[in-house]
Amino acid sequence: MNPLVLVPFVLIVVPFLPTFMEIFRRKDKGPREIPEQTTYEEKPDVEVPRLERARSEARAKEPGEVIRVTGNISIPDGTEIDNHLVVQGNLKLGKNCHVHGSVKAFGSVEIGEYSIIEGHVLSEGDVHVERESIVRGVVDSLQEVILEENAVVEAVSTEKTVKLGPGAKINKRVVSGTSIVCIPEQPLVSKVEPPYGHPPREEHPPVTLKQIQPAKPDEEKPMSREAIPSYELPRLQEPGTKTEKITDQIFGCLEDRIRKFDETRSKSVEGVKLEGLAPEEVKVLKVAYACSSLEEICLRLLMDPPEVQEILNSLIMKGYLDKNLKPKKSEAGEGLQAKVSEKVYESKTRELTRSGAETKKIEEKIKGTSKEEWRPPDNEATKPPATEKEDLNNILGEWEKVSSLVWGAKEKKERHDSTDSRSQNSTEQTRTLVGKDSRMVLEEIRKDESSKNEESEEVIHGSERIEKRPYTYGDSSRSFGIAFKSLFKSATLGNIAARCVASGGTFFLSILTLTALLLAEISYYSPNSVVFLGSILPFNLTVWPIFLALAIGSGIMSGLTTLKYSNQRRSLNDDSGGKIRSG
Amino acid sequence: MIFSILIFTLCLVMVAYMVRHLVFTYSALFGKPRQFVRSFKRIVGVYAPKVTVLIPAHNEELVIGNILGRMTGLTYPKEKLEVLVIDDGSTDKTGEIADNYATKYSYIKVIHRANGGGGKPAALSEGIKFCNGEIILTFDADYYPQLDIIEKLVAPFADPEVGAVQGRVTVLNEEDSLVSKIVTLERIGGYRIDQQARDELVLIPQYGGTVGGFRKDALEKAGGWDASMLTEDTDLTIQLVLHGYQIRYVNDAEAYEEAVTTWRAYWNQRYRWAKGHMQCAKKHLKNVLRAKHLSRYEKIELTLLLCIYFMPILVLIGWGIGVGAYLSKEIPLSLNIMGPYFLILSVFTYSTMGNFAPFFEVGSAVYLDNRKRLLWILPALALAFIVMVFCCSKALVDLILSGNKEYRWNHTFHNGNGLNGRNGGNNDHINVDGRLLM
Repeated sequence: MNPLVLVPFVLIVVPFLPTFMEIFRRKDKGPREIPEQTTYEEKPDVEVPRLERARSEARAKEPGEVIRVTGNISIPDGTEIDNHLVVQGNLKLGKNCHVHGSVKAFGSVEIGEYSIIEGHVLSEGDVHVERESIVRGVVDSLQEVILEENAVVEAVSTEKTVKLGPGAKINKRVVSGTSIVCIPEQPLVSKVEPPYGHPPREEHPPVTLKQIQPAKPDEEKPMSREAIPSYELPRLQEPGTKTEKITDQIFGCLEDRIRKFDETRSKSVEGVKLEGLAPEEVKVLKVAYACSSLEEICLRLLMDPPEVQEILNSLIMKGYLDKNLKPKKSEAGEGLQAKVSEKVYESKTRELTRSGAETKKIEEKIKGTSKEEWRPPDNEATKPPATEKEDLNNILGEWEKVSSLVWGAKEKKERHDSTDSRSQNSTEQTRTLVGKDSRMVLEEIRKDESSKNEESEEVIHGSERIEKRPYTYGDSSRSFGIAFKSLFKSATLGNIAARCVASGGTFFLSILTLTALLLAEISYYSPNSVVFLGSILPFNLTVWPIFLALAIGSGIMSGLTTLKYSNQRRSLNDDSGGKIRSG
Repeated sequence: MIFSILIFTLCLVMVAYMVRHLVFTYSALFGKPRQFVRSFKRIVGVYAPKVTVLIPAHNEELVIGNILGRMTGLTYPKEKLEVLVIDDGSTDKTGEIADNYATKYSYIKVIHRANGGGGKPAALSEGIKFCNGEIILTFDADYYPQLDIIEKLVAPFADPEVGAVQGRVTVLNEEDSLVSKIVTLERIGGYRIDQQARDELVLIPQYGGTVGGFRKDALEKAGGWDASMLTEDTDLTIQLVLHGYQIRYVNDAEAYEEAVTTWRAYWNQRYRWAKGHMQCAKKHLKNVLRAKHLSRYEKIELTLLLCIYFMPILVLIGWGIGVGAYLSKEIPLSLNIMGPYFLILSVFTYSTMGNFAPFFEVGSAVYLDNRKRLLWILPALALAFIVMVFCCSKALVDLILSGNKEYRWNHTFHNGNGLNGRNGGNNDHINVDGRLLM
């Protein structure tokens, strides 16, 4: 008998050999030994090639100049390392660390504040060099490189973006695959917890809070200038969507304008008729416009308080100042200012609602205050000159124009992209906002608040405002969908067919060959089985050479197709070698 | 029975090499390039340590001027570059030409060895004493490198694990003869696929002794060059790996060489390589297999690398076994195949099994390099393989018989063919700078 006929059967039996060995293995009848300590090797989060892992594991068996770590590692503050560091995972270096060598990581690298790396930093993930840190070599990364405030590195090279904080320094070359971005200076921030139901957004920095307490009208102490809503918007450390940037810019622009307007009002004493006033009274009046309290006036003029008080009483009696030591403003100016403050308030409310803000707290906060508090304090003594009126009208006009453009476009986007139910609700709300009177909208919002019981981190009080970027689970799925679509768009029908042939041919080649061989052997040595198999199979067994030819043919086809396809791919992607030369 | 066992063993070894070559070829054709390999491309030109370039030369008056002229045109910052020419007991104008360059350029220096001619390792060992650079690169005198080759070769050293680096060698004078075409094919296959795949598969690319370099402190740890080895590059490669360093291959860093043009020169060159590799196998194989810090893949690869010049000998043995099996009327595997057919089959089968994968590798490399016209010459590679069979066999026999005697360094003559098309000649047409006058 030809021994070749046994080959297929042997191939079937071989995978079951360990099972047979296990059955007949001598069993240990003693008690199971329970280890005192169990150490589990943590698999790195990052994908490390198998051969690289094998190499690193082997190298770790003998000490050398390189410290090798498998998995993620976080080095405590103040650590000094005299060797090179190779990490098969993510590396987080604490503050004030000193590495007398280079650092190589397969994941991301985070270098703490005031740390020093004497060598290079090579990473396949993000590299984050925190403030005041120094890297005396090259920082190379396949992802983003972020240099925070006053960080110093020798050179940077990356496939993605380089982000530079204020004062960050790169002594030599910067190579970026996409862009180099300067991060503006940010104030120190405090953490804000995400609202109920939202996952913590670690990647988004906490929001800046600026507490401003506008004084209530019934307070005896005159309002300070700081109590006036400065309309200064808290800014996120990392700018969010493009739309938020525009929003910030709009509000920033408005605030600047309003601030300037406020400042000009302080100089409006020039328009006031000062006839009949003593020189000292004039001097005090000018200072009173810029100051907010008796003590301040005394300090500025270096005069005795009783003397200043006497002059102020005189000015009040003459009608130049009111009881709060503020210049009296005109009605027209008051009306314009009220309109500005109202518009800004409504725009802020609209923005918060659009971003899915909880309005319950809005109502609570608003209840305690009145709209009048948003308005700047009375100023009866001055009439804004014509130029100021034009300024205000210009501000309002520009704001109307830009806000309709911005929020109109934003609404369209939200309609398409929003998947979160809450954001959908907010979208529906905001949909109603456009085109409607803002006052009516505000009332609608107040009505809806009572139906919602969720907590909110949104606070509105005076000029307080927290910008919240709602987390949508659709972000990651959206990007995947876009990538998938683009992949299909770029793949032509021919390429798809070629891939199907290549993968199908390669997969079925082995099965066809084995089947053909098995059937050939059976038919040769067992003629009776030919009849049996022929009765159950739809084809004639004597055509086994065709089987073989099909198998070989599909193998060749798949090989050629894959070769051609990979060559095309290589000619597009391969820039490391294989220079094209004329034949 | 004995013949069957021998044939079976031979087949196993040949299959191992065949699988190795096929894995490399498939990796080059279908494998995804490792992302981390590309990182050094971004660092090129950014990381610029102090570099010393060593150029050992023995009677190279026809070509030394070309490489030194090229050194003056390098884009690497000259304040961080040092070129050291080692005039290894030359009897021609090599020293004079090098001195002319040294007087004009401050970063070019020349060392004259009165007792030279003992081989390249001895010359390099002498030169290393005068090196000031952190990284040492070596070029043969007949090479013509790219102007930005230093930056490309130095970039991988930003990785603290890298101890040595190898660039790509391209033949410049391939049109000179059939032999130079065959050498071109071998070079393309060896670098474009073999070295590239070993780099991408985290195995061990080989430092080839030229168009490459290493860290100075790594060389000191490895014990420097062994003057008794004919292939000091392979010896250094193994030494560095045994000391835990990594070797990287840079496909972009190209230098052009003048290939041998005659069968005699081909034989001499391959004889030296074969003998040197066998020396290294004798010296290092045990240490490689015992090393705890090498992964099993690295051990397998190093073993196959060290024993690669034994493969042609196995082919010769296979022919002999086939003839013996036929004459003794022992037909293995009971296949009922006619005797003469089996005799012919033994010649081609072992050649095919032993050489098919290299053929496939070289063919794929040429295809990837878009050198389709060279594919027509591919069957001529079989001639080279047959020459290698006898060359390697002689090398093994000489190695066994010579014992610990010193080995004679056979210098390969270079006549500057690649750069000016002239076939050598007298010294009258060489100008002061060492360049051939057209």
